Order: sequence, then structure tokens, then C-alpha cells
Amino acid sequence: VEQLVSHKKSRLLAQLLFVVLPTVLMVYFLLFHVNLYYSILREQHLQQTLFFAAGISISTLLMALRFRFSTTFVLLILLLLGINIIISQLGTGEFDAFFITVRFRVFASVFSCGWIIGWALYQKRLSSFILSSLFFVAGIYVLLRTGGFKYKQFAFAFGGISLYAAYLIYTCEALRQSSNAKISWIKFCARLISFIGLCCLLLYSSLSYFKKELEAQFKFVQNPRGGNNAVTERDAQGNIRFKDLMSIADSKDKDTTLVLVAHINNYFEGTDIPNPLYLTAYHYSKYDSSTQSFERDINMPSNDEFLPNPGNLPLLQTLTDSQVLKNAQSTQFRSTVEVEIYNKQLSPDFFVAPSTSYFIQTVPVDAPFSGQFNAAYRAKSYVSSLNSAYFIYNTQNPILENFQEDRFAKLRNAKSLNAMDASFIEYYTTVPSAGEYAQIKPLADSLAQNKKTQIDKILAVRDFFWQRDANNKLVFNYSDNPGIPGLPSASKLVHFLFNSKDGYCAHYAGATIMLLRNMGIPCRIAAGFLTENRSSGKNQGWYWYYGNQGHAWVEIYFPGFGWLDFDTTIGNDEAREATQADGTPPSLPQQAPFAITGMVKSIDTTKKQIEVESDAVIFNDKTFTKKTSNFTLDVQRASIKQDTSTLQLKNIKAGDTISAVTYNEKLSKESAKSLNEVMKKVGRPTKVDDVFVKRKKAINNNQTSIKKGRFSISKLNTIIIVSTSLLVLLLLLLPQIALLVFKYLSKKSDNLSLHYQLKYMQLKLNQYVLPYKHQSTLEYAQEADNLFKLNTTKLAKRYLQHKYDNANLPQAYNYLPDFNANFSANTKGKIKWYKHFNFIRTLVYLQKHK
Amino acid sequence: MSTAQQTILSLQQNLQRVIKGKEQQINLVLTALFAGGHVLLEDNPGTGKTVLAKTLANSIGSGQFKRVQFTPDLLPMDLLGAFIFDDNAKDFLFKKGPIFCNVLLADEINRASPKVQSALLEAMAEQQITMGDTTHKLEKLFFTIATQNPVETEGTYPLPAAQLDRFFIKASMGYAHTEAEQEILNSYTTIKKNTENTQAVVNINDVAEVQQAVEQVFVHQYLIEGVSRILEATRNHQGISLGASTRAGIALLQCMRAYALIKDRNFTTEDDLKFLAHAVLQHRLEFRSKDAQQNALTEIINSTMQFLVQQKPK
Repeated sequence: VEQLVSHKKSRLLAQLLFVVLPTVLMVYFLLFHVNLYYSILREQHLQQTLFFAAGISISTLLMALRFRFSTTFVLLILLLLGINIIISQLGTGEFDAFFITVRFRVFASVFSCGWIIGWALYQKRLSSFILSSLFFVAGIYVLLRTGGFKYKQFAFAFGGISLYAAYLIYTCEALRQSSNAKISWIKFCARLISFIGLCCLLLYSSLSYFKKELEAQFKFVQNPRGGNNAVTERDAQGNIRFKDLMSIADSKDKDTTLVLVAHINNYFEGTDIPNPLYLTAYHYSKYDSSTQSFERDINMPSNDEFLPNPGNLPLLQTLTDSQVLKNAQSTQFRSTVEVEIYNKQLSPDFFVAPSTSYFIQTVPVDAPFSGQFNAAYRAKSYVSSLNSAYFIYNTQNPILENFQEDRFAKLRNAKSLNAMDASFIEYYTTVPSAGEYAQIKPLADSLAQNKKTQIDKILAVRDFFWQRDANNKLVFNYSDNPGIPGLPSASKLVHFLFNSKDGYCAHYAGATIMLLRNMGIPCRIAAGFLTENRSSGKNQGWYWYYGNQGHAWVEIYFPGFGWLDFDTTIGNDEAREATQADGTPPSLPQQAPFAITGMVKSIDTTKKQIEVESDAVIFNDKTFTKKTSNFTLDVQRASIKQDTSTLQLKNIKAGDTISAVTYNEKLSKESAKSLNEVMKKVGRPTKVDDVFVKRKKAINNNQTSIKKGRFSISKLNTIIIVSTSLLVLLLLLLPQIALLVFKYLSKKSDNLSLHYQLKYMQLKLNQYVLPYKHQSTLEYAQEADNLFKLNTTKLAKRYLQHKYDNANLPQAYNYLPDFNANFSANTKGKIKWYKHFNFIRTLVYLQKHK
Repeated sequence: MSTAQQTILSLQQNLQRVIKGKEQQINLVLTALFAGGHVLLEDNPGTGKTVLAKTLANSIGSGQFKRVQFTPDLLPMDLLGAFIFDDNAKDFLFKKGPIFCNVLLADEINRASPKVQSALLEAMAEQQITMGDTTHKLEKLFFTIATQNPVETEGTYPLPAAQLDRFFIKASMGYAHTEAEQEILNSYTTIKKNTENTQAVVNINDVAEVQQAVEQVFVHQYLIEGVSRILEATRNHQGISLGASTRAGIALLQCMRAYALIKDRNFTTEDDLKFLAHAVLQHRLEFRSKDAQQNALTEIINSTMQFLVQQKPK
């Protein structure tokens, strides 16, 4: 008895150390990520893990003491129910009681989960398999949902989970089997250490490999929801970037750093009054009700997103998306607007411009400002003259007011949606309608009542947000911190619309989308910067953007007019007011009709000429990159610059990469169709005005700059489908493969020929005729011979003599052809087709005969 | 065919003429005989225990067969013999008891008092008895077939584990199969005649020769490892409170050799181990529960068999 007790003790200890502890760590990892995402959990992952650990340990202890699972679990459930009832009846105010109940329920369910898992891992045979596969799926799901993970990071986290799964399966099985014998502590310690070691190695390698990205990730993770905005986040360098999804959060930070400065060459028709266009970065077209967030979708119909990476584009290089331009050209009232963006704090790989943009050219920042701004680019957008996101406020401005009325009148003439592609309409009008979202539809219907045109319906939504109560106070208000608690059942959007009526851009834009889509109007969310004109006469057309101008608004589709911006957010005065006085705008880059980027081949300091092998030649916004050719540049009058400093010609060496520009206005009216034509037009040697020498380091930076390898579900699906089908195929063919292997082995090895012949025979019999159980070799052969006259006993006897007699090795003899002939003759027509593929039998046999 | 083989074959045939459908039991008894051990038969009354023992004794020519019915009032001297005063010699003479024979049938051994049981078992182990100051050697071939009745356990003295260990094999006869039983019922008179007229087919020397041949049978290292694994497993099993002794292992190996010879082989195989392990070990173990009593040893044997089957020939 003493021995039994000590065995039980060691089993319990081993179970706690080797199974429960890793499981708790794994659960911590999962809960940590789940907490990031679901606000209902309120970031209490540590407490939740502790509760889980308590559940799993207590249940393991009780199981080790031979308590029955069913009775203890029923008692536990009764106890939890009791406490739940008591809490809900405590008179601590309705809200508090509700809140405490929710928290209690979370902890109770975590605790009972731990309880069940502890029991299963201790007693149930297949639990480790089921549990590890559950963890596996849950892990993948959580990682995908929590987003932010890039492809390779995901792969690493994925590796960790699969490692844990394999470990659990291995250890649980070993522990369970060891119940008959002594537990080998050394073995288990070694196993645990190797598990931890592998995890550490994985962690270390991923940390060192993705240092920058992980730091960014970590920053993001530390304050994931507070964020600085619903749509923006900061990367490792503190630069602002836009997120792939817009989540509706509790609060929004105030951020007053200067992000960028833009010159938008857009004025109200016939006036010199600037028409400030919003700068768009992304579109969110899909709503995910499980996470209550609007997401980007690469597959959105008639995708008009132009997403170049300015950080990767060589200086003065242009990039044009002709497809976007072509699509936009089918709509009325559009013209090209030129924009210059001077980037200070935006992530270098981000591109913002008024929609619909189709062209980018990186430009140098002129000397006095090059320290102030990191980079600059010129963009072209094909903008509707009806476009102005300004919508609700600034009604005092008569020009704007007239403009608004004018555009509403024009938009009333918009064609009907009926002529549009049905799938397009369906995509952009899809909203959840079940559950709590059901109450939005009646509201939308009541607003749309008696409104015939699309724009009138939109105005009805505007007026809904613009309504005033009996005291002439606005019903809907702007608030950076609307303070909606992370209620589990109350959708934040629904809560905003019907209860709190306080929110910021994400709330207004989200609610507008909900209402408009319920009315059948195709719309989507645009994320970017709101533009506020603070110029007051001086520096007209220049706009300054601060962190708190990161914004989300609505784009609505009008047939014949295309996508137009509408901002339904109630006045956010803070973002509109300048956080600091506008600085001096940087001088605009001169129009360069000819620019060349390439490698220096030779330098002639006496003639002041440089021979360049061109990588890219730009002639009046047309880029020639396909061919390379040699240009001779005359740098007599040119200033040679490297970053902020000026260089001498002798400082340039062969092999350097330079960009050279001509501002010769005569050339700007010319056009060329081929590189040869360009060469003729610019003359030889070509006179250039500016030469920019690129730093080697800068080039390297460009090359290694982060690829935007976002994880795509379809890629994952393909990988999963292909690997699964390969696995299934392999499994189905396993019986035949195993037979072939044994046959091959029997021929190959002299010494063990008889052994593999016997295995082949047994495997074949096991597969088709008689499952191998606990028989000895001879018994099995005899049983098979009783069923079919196969004469296998002879082989078995010979084999046994070979194995157990110390007499000399019997003469090698191949029994297999005989056996196979016998087998097919005797079993003709008796074997069902599926037995060829019954890999489970093969696996069972191979497992017994390792 | 060697003389050993002939002896075995003729003994088998002779026994099978009388005991129908019991090849396995016959083989077990013969195994114990050739291995130089003793056998304990346990089964309900009327299953042929006595007939088997009697026929075996009669088959061995010049063999003496004695039968002792064990009862609670049996005394050691009833079994071993006693000193009787001889008037002529004016001295106490030793009168040999029934134990001085070649084949002894100890019927219902568990009914006798522990005193008698231990006297018998000691004689079985030592091949000699000591009365007073004289030691008497038993016959060179001394084979005991003890029987035990599992029903009517009232007033019995179960054999202690240490004494059960002396029996190489404990076998249970079991009822005959339907076919065999019908044959027995059909030709009972013939069988009865056969029993009475059992001819001696071998003599004691032949048996001794077989016993010597047993020593020559080759045992492969794998099987020794298998036996030692079984012993080890019985000691560590949760359901077994008393594991198998080393003597049990020796007995098992010896029995395997003998059985291999019966199967006309001069080497042992895994089948010998599988066939004998239960008969040799089951009665030497003490179990914690009824469930363990039924399954524990089978489990151990099966896992050892799996180990043996997995081994590649060297």
C-alpha cells in the first residue's frame, strides 16, 4: 500500500510539473492575445490564467485522490450557480451588479474550463490529442483574429503552438503508460528541458530576426486599444501609420505632433478659395461583427486603391496606375489635382493623397527644409469637382454653403443604382442585420421615408446626427472619450446610436455606414487625414496635419460621379484648431522635365562631364525603365548635393548612384515615345541643373525596407488544403508503401531477409485477412492458414528457428513469390476494395512491430 | 528419431487413448515430469485428474504408483512411513509410507493439515525424508501429481504461497469439449478398459533420459530476457502484491526446455513462453483484486510477447 501511495504521489507531481504547468503557460499565451482583442475581458489575462491554473490543479489533485469526476463537477457547477445568483441579488446598483456578474461569469468559465481539462488530461486516454488539437485551432484562430501579426511572426507563433501540441501528446501518453511502472524522472526532465530549450531558441531567434518589427508590435501591443486613434498607430520609429482595420474603441488619444505638410492645388471653381480635400490612406469596406471592426479587403469590387510605397521608390521616379485612372475617367466632373506631400512623421512606406490618386513621383526636399522633412513626393489625383468632405459644420461660410447646395442639386440628378453591377451593390451594402443590429434597419427606414434620391437620404442621415433637442442642444456630440464600457452584449455602434450618442470619427463613420447600407446605398469608410484650412490668405493651398487629424469618414458611390467623400462627424474643434502656428511652407520643387537615375560610369573633371548608365529616365512624367542606355551629363552649372551638403565633382566616384535633373522649361512642352527620342531631345551632353548623390546606406535601407507581407487567408487556405490532401494521399497509399518497403528490405538485407519476408507476409495478412492482435508469430501464421490455405506456417517455423535456435543460419530462401501467388489465388474476389487503403490497420500493425 | 522423442511420443499416445480432448493438459503434465518438477491439478470433481495421474503412472514401466487421499486427520507418518517395533529384531524398523514411489497422486491436498502438507512439500523439494536420525532417499524418479478441489472450501487448509512455489506447474483440467465428451460417453467401456489395461510403454530410465535431454535444449538470449522481463513486471505491477521469485523464473525456463522437446524442437521459442508462463506463474503470485487476478498476468505476458515479436533475429 505504501508503494502504491508513493507511486500516486509521484504521478501527481509529474502530472503537475510536466503537463499542467506547460498547459497553463500555453493558456496564458492564448488568453493574453484574446484579451488584446475582446474588450469584454478587460485585459485581466494574468488573473484569468491564475483562475485557470487553480481550476486545473484542483481538479488534478482531486483526480489523483480518486474522486469521481461527475460528482465533484456537479458540486462545482452548483456552487458557481449559487454564487452567481447571490451576486445578482446583491443590491449594489444595477450597473455594478451587472458588471460584477459578467466578470464573475468570465472567471467561473475559465475556472471550470481548467477543471475539465485537468480531469481529461489526468484520466482520459485521447484527451491529450483532442486538447492539443483544440489548442492548435484556437491558437491559429486567435493569432489570425488579433491581427497585427506578419507572415513570419505568425509562422513562429504557430511553430510554438504546434511544438506544445506535440509535446503534450508525447508526455501525456508517456505519463499514462508509466502508471504501471516507475516514473523515470530523468527522462521527463530531459523532455521538459528540451521542450523549454526549443521554445527559448525559437523565441530568441524570432526576437533577434524581427527585432524592429517586434518592437513596433510590442509598442502596439502595450496600448492596443487606447491607440492614438481608431485608425492610426505608431511604428517603432514613432511614425504614424494606418491600421488594416478600424476598431471601435473606448477612447482616443490626443496627439499633437506634426505628421506632414501638404500643398493641395485645388480651389473652388472660379475662385481662389482653397477647397481642402481630405487625404485618403486606406478604405475599409468590410464589417466584422465578431470583432466589431471595419476591415480592409483586398478583394473589394472595382478596387481603386493606389498603394505605392514612397520609401521604396527611387528619387524622382514616377509610378502611375493607369487602371485606376481609366476607371475614374468614366465618371463626370473630374479633373486632375496635384498634391505635394512633405513627410515628417508618417511611416515612410505610407502614401496618402486625395482620392482617387493614380500617380506618384518622389521629389527631393530643398536644402533649408531637408532637415525638417524626411521625404517628399508629388501625387496626382483625379478628383471630382463635387468632392468636399465638408458636410455638416462650417455652415457659416457662404461660399461653402452655396457650394454644398450646388453639389446636392447636381447629385440629385445622379443615375439610378439599378443599372449598376448587382454584385458591386451587394458588396457595398452588406451589413449585419441579426441580433442587436436588427434595430438599425427600422431607424434607417424611418430616416429614408419620403426621400427619393440618394443624396436626400444621405442628408437625412446628416440631419439625424445634426438634430437638436428641446433646449436647442445637439443630441449627438463629439467626444474623444465616450467611455463606453466593454460591455459583452452591447455592440458599441448600437450603443452609440441609441444610447450614448457621444463618440468620435470611428463611431460616426461606422454608424453612418450602418444606416446608409441599410438604405441600400453603396458606401465604405475612408481612413486618412482631415484637412483644415488655417492659412487665412497667406500660403494658400498649404495645409498642416497633426496626429489628431487622423480621421475616418464615409465615401459614397454615385453612379456617374464615382466615389465622393462625406464626413458626418460632429465638429471636432480640437482637431480643427491649430495645435501650433503653421510654419513656413517648404519651397515647391521645380517642374523637372527631364530626370535620370543611374550608375556613374566615368567622370571627366576637366570637361565637367559625367557618363551615366541609366536605370530610369523620366521625361515629362513618362518613365522609361525597360532599356538602359548611356547618357553624358554636362554638370558645368549643376549643383551637386548629397543629403543636405554640397559636394564637388571630384567627390563622385564611378559606381555611385546619382539622380540628375534638368529644369529647362523649353523641354517641358516636348514629348517622347522612346528612350532614343528622349536622347535626341535632351541633346548630348545633356545639361543638368541638379545632381543628387545617393548614400550607399540609403540604398541599402531601401532594399531591406520591410515588405508588407500581410498574412492572407487564401494563402493559408491553399497551404492547408495542399498539405492536408498530400497527407491524406500519403495515408491512403501507406499500406502499399509499407508492403513495398518490406519487400525491398527483404531483398536488400541478407541477414534479415527472413525477418522482412515474415513482416511482409504478416502485414499483408493483417491488411486484408486477419487483424494482428496478441498472437505469437506461429499462432498468427496458423490462424491465417486455417482461414486460407496459404502455407505461411512453414515460413513462420523457419523464421522462429532462425531467430531462436543457435544453429547455423538456414539457407536464404525467398518465400514471397510463392506466398503472393498462393495469396492471390486463395483470396480472389474476397477482398473488398477499401481494404487496400485501410491505413489504420497498417498503422496499428506498424505500431506493434516498431 | 531419438529415444527421447520416442519416449515422449509413446507417452503422449498412451495418455491420449484414455484422456480424450485434453492434449494441452497432458502436455503440461508431461512438461512438469520431464522438467523434473511436480504438478498441481485444480478442478472440479470428475474432470479426470485422477485418471490422468493413474494412467501416467501405469504408462511408466516398473513404476510404482501410490495414491493418498488427503483428509484433515491424516498424519505425516501416514504419508512418510513409521517406525514399527519388530519383535524378531527387537528393534524399531522403518516401515516406508506411500511416498516411496515413482508417481504419487496426492488427492485433495488442501484438505490435509498444514503439518502433512509441509511434510509432503519438503519431500518434493529435497527428494528425501528424515525420520528421527535416519535419512531416507526417495526414488530417483519421484513425480507428484497433487489435486485440489476449488468447490467446498469449508474445512480446507489452502496451501501457503511458499509451498505453492514448489509446484512447477498448476494446471486446471477443465471440462471436455462437447465432441470429446460425447466420445467419452459413447465409448466409456472401452476407455475404462483402456485405463485398467494401460500398458507400460516406457520405463524409468527412458524418462530419466528425457530429463537429461531437456538440459541440452538451447534457450536464446531473447527468451531469457523475456522471462526476466516477466519476473520484473510481476514485481512492479500495481495489482500484484507478491511477485514471482527467481525460482519461478528458473522453473519457467526449465519447463520451456521440456515443452520444446515435447514439441519436437531442440530450441525454445516465444510460443513455449506464451504457452507456459501462465501455468507456471499464476499460482505463485498474490493479487490485490479479483480483476488483477484475471488480467494482470495476461497483460504482462502479452506485453512481453510484443517485445519478443518486435526483436529482429541476430
